[in-house]
Amino acid sequence: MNTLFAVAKNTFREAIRDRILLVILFFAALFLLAAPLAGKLSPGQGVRLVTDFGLAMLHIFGLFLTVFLGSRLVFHEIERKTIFLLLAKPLPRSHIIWGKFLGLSAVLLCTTALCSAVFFLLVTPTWSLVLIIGFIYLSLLLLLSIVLFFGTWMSPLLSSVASILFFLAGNISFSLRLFGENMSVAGKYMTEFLYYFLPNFSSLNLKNFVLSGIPYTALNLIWIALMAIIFLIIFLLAASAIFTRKEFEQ
Amino acid sequence: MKKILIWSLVAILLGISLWQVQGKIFPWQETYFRTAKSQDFLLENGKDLKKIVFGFENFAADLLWLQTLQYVGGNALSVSFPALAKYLNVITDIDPNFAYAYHFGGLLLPFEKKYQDAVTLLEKGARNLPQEWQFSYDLGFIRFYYLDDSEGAIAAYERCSENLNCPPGAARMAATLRAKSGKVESAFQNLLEQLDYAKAEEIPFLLKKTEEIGKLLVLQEITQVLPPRESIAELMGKKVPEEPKILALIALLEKLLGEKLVDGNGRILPELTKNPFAENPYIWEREEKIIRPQSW
Repeated sequence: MNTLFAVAKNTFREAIRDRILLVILFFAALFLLAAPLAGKLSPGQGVRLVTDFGLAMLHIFGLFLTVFLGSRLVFHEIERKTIFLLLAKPLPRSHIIWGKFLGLSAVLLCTTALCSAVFFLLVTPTWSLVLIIGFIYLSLLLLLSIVLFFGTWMSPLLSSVASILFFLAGNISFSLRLFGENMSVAGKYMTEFLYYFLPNFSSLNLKNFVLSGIPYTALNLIWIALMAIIFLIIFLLAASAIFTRKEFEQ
Repeated sequence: MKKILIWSLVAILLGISLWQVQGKIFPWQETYFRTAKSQDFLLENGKDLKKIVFGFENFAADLLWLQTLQYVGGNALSVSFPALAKYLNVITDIDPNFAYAYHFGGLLLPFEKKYQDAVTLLEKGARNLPQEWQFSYDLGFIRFYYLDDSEGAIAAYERCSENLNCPPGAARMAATLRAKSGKVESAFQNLLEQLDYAKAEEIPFLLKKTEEIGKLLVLQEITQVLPPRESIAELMGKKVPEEPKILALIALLEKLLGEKLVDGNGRILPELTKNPFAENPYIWEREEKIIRPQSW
């Protein structure tokens, strides 16, 4: 367990030194602070627009960070040959993947908290907003596990593209299933299969439900969180399995 | 072997859990989807929005267009689209060349009796896309039919008729409206202008209309000078007053038609009573002091 946290700690340190993190954070803060401008577009509905725009920025920049940092995690180690230093140590290979995931999760937690602090300078904090941001963070973790999965056997660019496509597909899986209800039997089964085996990112996007006043229960939220955690475990297990069997050339 | 078994078991367990969990989420999401009502459209105009779409104006307009179609579809049963004008205004602010949005508004907004919104949108369309004659044509119709604004309708039909693709009906409508509103001289001038750029197939009709309106004009001018009569037929065979304006009009009409309207003694030829007035007798409106066909 100590080795896992050692990898996580190192990943965290490495990530916060990355310039790309600072660049993305700078723009995130800039766009968040520009949210009041969005409010001016609609007299009388300013607060709503600032809230929507701020949450959207928080989510979008979180996605950027996850994809940019996550896709380079394993690749950098291989490219700089530092992976051999890690492999030489007495730690299971899967710990490298899980450790990196934990390290970057901590980075994402810090950046989400930082962006939320900026956001709450503009909007009065409520439990609903905190809940929404919590689920945004959960969707970022899920995406991170997908990025790590692709990152173990693809180049950073390819894994970024694949992860983004996966994210988009996960966002429309629900609509696809609804659409499939009017299709042939084969189409119906196909869209149902896609619904069950693609991460349901649209359900994690609570801002569409909560801010619109759609009633929800704690049980609804538990099922959604559980879905995210199960997918997260699947992707991390798959990433670990691939990474364990991967052969590295000197 | 043992490892494979364990992993298979884990995979099956995770698969079943997913099946269960996703199955629980779906009904809630579906309820939200089925019961969700269209919310108010918050933007008043798209001018500011245009600044922040970073060059993706067409794309942003397309997305809003899809939302508009969903909005209209969602309210189709109640036939009530209170936010439609706002949607279309924002779309056409972001992408002023979105021709279909103007057409759509011109067609649907009058259904909701939002005539002024329809007029504003179509005016914007005619301004942004002058090559699209349909906007002026629709505008003329809405102004004339719903708003009872003959002046506005005339202007719209005349603007439409300046476009070569505009149906001849627009020019006819403009001239007829002018004549109907007592502005026979304007109608006559308008027809003369149209003859300058009319297509070959439109010329016979325009000539016929010019003849009709021209004769009406001459008769009207004459009746302004002569004492009021019960019937315009009484004017036939009478001497044309030596009014320079009337003489000029008769000369112009004779040149245009290539036939004599006045005999050697300065009298209006009686044939005029037979054709075309005989088919469509004109009457003298004593109160308004104008001549009009009985069918009007």
